[in-house]
Amino acid sequence: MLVFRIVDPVLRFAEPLTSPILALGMALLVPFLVQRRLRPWRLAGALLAAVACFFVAYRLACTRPAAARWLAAMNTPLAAVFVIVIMPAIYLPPGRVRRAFLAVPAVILVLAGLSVLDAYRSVPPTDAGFHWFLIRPAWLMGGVASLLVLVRPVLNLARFRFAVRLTCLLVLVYGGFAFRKDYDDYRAMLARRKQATPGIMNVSQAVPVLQEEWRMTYLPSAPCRFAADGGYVQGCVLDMGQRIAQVDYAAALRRDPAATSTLGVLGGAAVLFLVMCFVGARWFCGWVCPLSGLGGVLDWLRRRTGLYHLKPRGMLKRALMVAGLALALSMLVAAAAGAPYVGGVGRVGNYRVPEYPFCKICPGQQVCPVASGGPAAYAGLPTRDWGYGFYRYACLALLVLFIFGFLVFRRLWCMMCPMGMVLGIFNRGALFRMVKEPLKCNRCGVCAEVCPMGIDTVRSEMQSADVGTFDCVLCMRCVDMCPRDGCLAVEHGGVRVAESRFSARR
Amino acid sequence: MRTALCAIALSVLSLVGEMATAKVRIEILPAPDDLFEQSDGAEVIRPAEGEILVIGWIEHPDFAIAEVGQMAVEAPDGRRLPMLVESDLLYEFDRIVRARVAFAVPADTVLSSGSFFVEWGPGVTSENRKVGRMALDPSMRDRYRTFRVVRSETAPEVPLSSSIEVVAESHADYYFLWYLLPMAVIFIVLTVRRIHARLPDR
Repeated sequence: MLVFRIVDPVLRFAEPLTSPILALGMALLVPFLVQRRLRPWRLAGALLAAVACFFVAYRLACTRPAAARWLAAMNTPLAAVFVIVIMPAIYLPPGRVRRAFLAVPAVILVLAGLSVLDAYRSVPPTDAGFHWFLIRPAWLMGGVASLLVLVRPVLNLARFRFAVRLTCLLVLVYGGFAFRKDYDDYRAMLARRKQATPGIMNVSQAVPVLQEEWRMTYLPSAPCRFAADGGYVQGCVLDMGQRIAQVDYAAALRRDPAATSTLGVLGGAAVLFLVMCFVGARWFCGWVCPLSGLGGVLDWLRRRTGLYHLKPRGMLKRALMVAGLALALSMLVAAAAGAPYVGGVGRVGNYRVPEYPFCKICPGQQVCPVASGGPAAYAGLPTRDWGYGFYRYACLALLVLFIFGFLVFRRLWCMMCPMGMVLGIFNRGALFRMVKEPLKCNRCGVCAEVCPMGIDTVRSEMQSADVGTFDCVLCMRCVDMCPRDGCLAVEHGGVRVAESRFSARR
Repeated sequence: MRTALCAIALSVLSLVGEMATAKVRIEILPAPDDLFEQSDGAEVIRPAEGEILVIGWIEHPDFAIAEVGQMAVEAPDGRRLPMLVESDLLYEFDRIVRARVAFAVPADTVLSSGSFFVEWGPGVTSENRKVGRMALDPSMRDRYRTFRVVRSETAPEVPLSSSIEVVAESHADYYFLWYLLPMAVIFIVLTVRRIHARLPDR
C-alpha cells in the first residue's frame, strides 16, 4: 500500500523512539520542564533537542556491536506509544493545543486500520477468508492507545476505566490468536495449535505474539501466557523471575555464550519492565491486569445479586501478603534448584519440579485458558506425581481463593499477588502520586467505602498531602466518588490526571 | 529558536547513513542436484513459460535489512526483478541477515552475458513476496538455476557464512552488564523521590 511506503521508512528511522531509555528520560524530563512553566515553543524546542540528542547518541552507540545488541533487546513499540501518544495526552495543557494534538492519535488509528487491510493483501487467494486482525504490534499498540486517548474526552472516569480494562482484557487474553503479526505468523500459530499436547504441564507450545528469540516483553500486570495460543505478551513478573532464577550464572561468569545470551535477553526484559513500573506503578493492577479484569466479572455477578461484599481486616491483609511473598519466593527457589536450564524440567531428590513452578499453582493458568478458549481449553489440575501432589492441591486452593476473593471480598486476591507487591514498591516515589487536600476533607468515609482494596489511609490521613499506599491499585474510584471538589486527585509527574469533581457529576 | 534549530540540525545528522545501499554482483549457475530434494510441507515453485527460475541464498557479511522489501535483484538491463522470499528468515538483532530467495528471468536473459546484481539497504524498495518453504519441480530440472555472490578481487577474504565458533564468540561478552546502568538509574531516582515524599509538606 502506497501509504506504508512512506510510513515504513519513517518508522525505521524512528527506531530510537522504541527505546525504554528514551521513555524513562522523557518521563523524568517532561514533568521537570512542565513545572518550570516554559513558553510552549521553548518547551517544544527543548524536548525536540533532547530527542534529537538521544537519536544521535543511539545511532553512535549502535556503531558498536555490543551496544547495538543490548539496546535492541530492550526496544518495544510500547515505549514509542508512551512518548508519542500517552505523554502528550497527559501533559499538554487543556485547550487548543491539546485539541490539535488529537489529530496525531486519529492519524495513527487510521494507519492501524489500513495496516490490517494491507496485511490481508498478503493472504494468498486460496486462503482468502477471515483470519482475525493481522496487525503488527506497533500498530496495535498505537491504535489501541490512540483510540483510548480519543474517547477520553467524551467518557467520564468510570466509563473510561471500564473501556481501558475491557480493551486490555481483549488484547491480553485473546491477542494470542486475534492479533497475530501477519499471515505467516497466523499460520504458524495454527500449525502449533495442531501440534499442542493437552495437559496443564504441556501448554507451553503456545507462543505469545510478542515473543522473539532475542527479546521478551513482560507487562507489569498478570497477562498469563497460558491464555489461548500464548496470549499477547510474554507473561507476568513471576514468569520473568522464574526464568532469571533458572539462568546458569556460573556458566555466564565463564562467558558461556548460551548463558550470557539468555541473561542478555532477560536483562533487556527486566529494564523494560522496571521502566514501565516506574511510569505506571500499581495503575497496571487497577486498569490493565487481565486477571483482575476476569475477577471483576465475579465482582459484577455479586453486585447483580445484591449481596454486600466483606471487608478484609488488617490482620487478614498482612497474612495474605506474607503468604503470597512466601509462596512466590519458595517457587522461585524451586525453579532455581530444579531446572537444569531455562525452561527445563528438573528434580530435587525425588521431587519433580515443573518448568515454571509458580505458573502451575497460579489461578491464572486455570482461568485464562478457559476465558480465552472456552471450557474445552481447560487443561485440568496437575497430577499427583508432581511434588507429591503439592502442585495439585496448591493449585486447587489458590483457585478457590481467587474465586472467593473476587466474589466475596472484591480484590482479596490482589493482596497476595506477587506481581502487585513488586508494583507496590513504585506506588510512592515513582511518577504516580495520590494526593489529598486535608483542609477540604470532611472524613465522610466514601473513599474507604468504595475502595476495592479496603484502604482507609485516604480517609484517615489529615496531615500529609501524599496519601499513596503500597496497596493502592490507582483505580481512582475514591477520586471519582469523593463528594468534595478538588479534595482528592491523582498526579502523574506532578500533573493532575484525575480530580474529584462531584459537582460536575450531578 | 536556537534550540529548535539545533534540534533540527541534530535530527538531520542522525539521518545520515539511513539511506545507504549496498550492491554486489551475482553469478548464475546450473542448479545442483541437492536443490531438488523434496521436504514435507514445502510449496513447489514452477517457472512460467519462457522463464527460468533462479533460486539461492543471499548471504553476505554486510547483508542486514529490516524487511524483505529492502532487497532487490537488478537485471542486466537495469530492471528490478520481484522476488519470492522464504518466510523462514534468519534474524540477528531485528535485522534479516540471511534469506533464501527466488526470482524469474526470461530464458534468453540468463543465457546471454551480462551481470545481475543484488542490492539491499533502506534506500531499496522492491515488491517482494514472502512464501513458505520453497521446493523445485524435478521434472523441470533444466528450467532452474542457482546463484552465488561474486567476490570482488580487491575485497579481503571474509567467510560468507559464520562458523559456530564465530557466532559463539560474538555473543561471549558481558553486554548484559550494561542493563545494570538503567536499572541503577531507576532505583536511585525512586529512592531519592521516596525520601523526598516522606518529608513533611510545606
